[in-house]
Amino acid sequence: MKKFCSNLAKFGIAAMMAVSMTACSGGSTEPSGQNAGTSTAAATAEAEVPQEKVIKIATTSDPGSLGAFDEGSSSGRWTVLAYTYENLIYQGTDGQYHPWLAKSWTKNEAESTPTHVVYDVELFDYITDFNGNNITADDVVFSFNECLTNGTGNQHTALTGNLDSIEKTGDYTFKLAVNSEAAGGLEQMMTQVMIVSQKEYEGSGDCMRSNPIGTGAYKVDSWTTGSSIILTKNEDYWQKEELRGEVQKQNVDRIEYYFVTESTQMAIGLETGIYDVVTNLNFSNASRFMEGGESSEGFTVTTQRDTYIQQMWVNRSEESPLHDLRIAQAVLYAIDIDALITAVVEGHGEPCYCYGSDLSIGFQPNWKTDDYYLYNLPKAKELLSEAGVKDGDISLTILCDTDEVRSKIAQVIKLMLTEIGINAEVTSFEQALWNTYQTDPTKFDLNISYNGATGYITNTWRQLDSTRYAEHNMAMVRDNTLDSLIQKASISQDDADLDAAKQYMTENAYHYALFHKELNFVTNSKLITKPLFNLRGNIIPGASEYVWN
Amino acid sequence: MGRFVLKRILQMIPVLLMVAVLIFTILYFVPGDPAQIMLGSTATKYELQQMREQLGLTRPFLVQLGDFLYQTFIKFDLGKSYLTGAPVGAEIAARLPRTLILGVASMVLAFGIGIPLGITAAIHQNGWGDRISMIIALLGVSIPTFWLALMFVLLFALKLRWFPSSGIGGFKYYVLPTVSLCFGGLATQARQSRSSMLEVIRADYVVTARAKGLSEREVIMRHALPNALNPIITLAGNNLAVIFGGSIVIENVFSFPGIGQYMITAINQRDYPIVRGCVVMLAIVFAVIMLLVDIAYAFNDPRIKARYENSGRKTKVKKA
Repeated sequence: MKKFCSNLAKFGIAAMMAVSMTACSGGSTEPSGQNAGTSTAAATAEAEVPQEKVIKIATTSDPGSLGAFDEGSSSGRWTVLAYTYENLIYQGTDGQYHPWLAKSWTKNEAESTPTHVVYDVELFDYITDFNGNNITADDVVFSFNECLTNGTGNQHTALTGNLDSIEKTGDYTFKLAVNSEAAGGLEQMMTQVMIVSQKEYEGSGDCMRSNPIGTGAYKVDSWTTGSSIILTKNEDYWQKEELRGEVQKQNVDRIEYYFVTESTQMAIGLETGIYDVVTNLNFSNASRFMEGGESSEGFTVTTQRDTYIQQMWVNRSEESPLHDLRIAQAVLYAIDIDALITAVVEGHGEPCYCYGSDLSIGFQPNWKTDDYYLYNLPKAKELLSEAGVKDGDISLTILCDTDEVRSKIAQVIKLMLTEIGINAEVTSFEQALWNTYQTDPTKFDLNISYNGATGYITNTWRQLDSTRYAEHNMAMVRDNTLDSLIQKASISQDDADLDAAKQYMTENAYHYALFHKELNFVTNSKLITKPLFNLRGNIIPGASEYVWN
Repeated sequence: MGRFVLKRILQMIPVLLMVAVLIFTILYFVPGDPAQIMLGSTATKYELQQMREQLGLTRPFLVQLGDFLYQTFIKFDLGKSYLTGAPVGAEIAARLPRTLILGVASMVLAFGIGIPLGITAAIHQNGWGDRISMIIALLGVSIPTFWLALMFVLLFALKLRWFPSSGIGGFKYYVLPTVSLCFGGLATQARQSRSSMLEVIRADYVVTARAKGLSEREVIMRHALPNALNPIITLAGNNLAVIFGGSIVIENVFSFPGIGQYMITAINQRDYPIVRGCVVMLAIVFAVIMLLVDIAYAFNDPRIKARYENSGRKTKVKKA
């Protein structure tokens, strides 16, 4: 006993020292490939073709539920379940919309009115789900109605915001009516609502939460909540080989998703061979895999611009000092975007040119040369002077969530504002509370936020259209002129209308689009020869190319 | 003894009810609107109101509370997640065993190493064994669990590649989280064991045992240790609660899908049914642990056992 205890004590001390010293030495070996901002391919060894066609992907979010119309963790669902349940159409990596379950969709001019825009949609007539049920127009109508009645989240809001009616016209045809001529509503619904067989859904007893029966290229084999989900190839996939789009390809037999919340854990898992793909790795971790990095051999880092924009809402209501346009503009002129990008994301970001992305449909190339509040301290000070504001007169509240990037943005902007004599305090809340406070004009003056910017640019602008809200838009005002400009541009998609809306919202300093950050994807180059990533920043495993292809 | 256990079980009921009322009330008044989170900032007031009605959030506080208590304690239904619609009970049933395995394994390690360390320290008071044991204990209470966990990951997962850095699977997936989690408990257990042993080791009955010619091993194991055990058991109960609390941090560090990770995600998303369900389940686990600690007291100390039995008989006499 005595000997055992003393040996144990010796071992304990030795182990503690070893852990601290060795582990700390591991952490101090900083990679040198910090400058590898763009795609960096590591030296790829002559790869052996593995026996099993399996890919292991680390992702942050569990889907939460496998049910067809449950929202769950949004990113988790869209990452994982997109290959099990299918939509009518999908937005490809080229930014365009492509057929998925729907073969075609055309506007029915004869039956359309400004508030009831009708589209004739035709389905492929040979779609079958995992249990061999033929998917018909009845199933589509059922899916839309079920989603509208019992669905939650993005799918549900896509319908409540756009759907006017849906009506079957034949076994494989139906009329889908949108409540507005504004562009994007139809696509929003058709890319969001998952289509299932009515018979299977009603027969499942639990809304398919335990056993999803979709039509997709991959079936759910097993799901360990919070840990992993395994998908296997649907051997009887309905679509013909030659007609398959990128979301329908089956280049791999088995896809294993692992849910890992920590970025560092993802990187370690990649290095130790637990995972083959890690998406959205932060820069400090990704640089280990870049050229010259500690673990560059055998890995490829792909850098892609995030489709989300990091942005700032300006509270232009009477509750805020920024109600005065001159002060609001002064704040925007005081922000040095290049310095912000350097400070926040180590230079791995691209500035925005307007509210929206230059990849959005409707973005005009000449907007890139417009003066979008380029950093101009003298002008900022002049505007404040015109408004009668002296140093220290104004104190602003900057609201943000606890996201690492947005918290840093808030801190840097706070410092930049001191240059023009404006004091600011940062109030940071976790996502839930921030979500609630960002619609309350008494809670902030500047709100650091983010917004998806794919599809039509007018869809992005909808958050400034106050008619969509009961009281005010996200800049906390109701501006009828802006509302009508956005609506007009949404319907016509005409260059002049788009430009008029863009100029108006910019001049009134309702919003400031800051930058797109860069996303890092690291893949095992001994397995994946050509990874394909969608606009949401997720790998499309079935359409990526592997050593066996 | 049976009466004592039954009495303690009955006492758990009001405690659990109070926990349930408390957590419901706190969540009711905490800022953050689940409907807003579910529908996003683009939702209109009408849509938000519809969602709140759908979730039953527009009903008066007492109606909601009554419904929650009825569903939880009468129908044993913890409800469905606001966000996913998945039954909370089923999700907890899948995750709680993982957390329990992690917690119990950590506890076994903490006690299995901590108590012998403390005894060694007490036997060799002021000797090198004592000093080394107490250095380990000091390190254990000083090092934050999350830091130690990260160090273990860097060494054993990244450098040596002995154990996986995250996830769940077989035995090896539990090693790093378990060892990280046990360290704090091990240290406090060692310190408490040393202190308790030092108190009894010079007692008259221990001197008498030595004078009778018993071996040192017998003196320690049969006379000193049983008498030193009660404070150790008390601390063990507290440590177990701390270990389960600490598992929330460890689960997040190791992406370990236990109840702690589930609850943290739910708190961030204002998914009230999940938070309430997890808290009630953890309260039940803690209450059972405390019950086991009390029973262990009775088994270890005949005086306590006799008192419980006597109190039972006295009650009978009074009634007669």
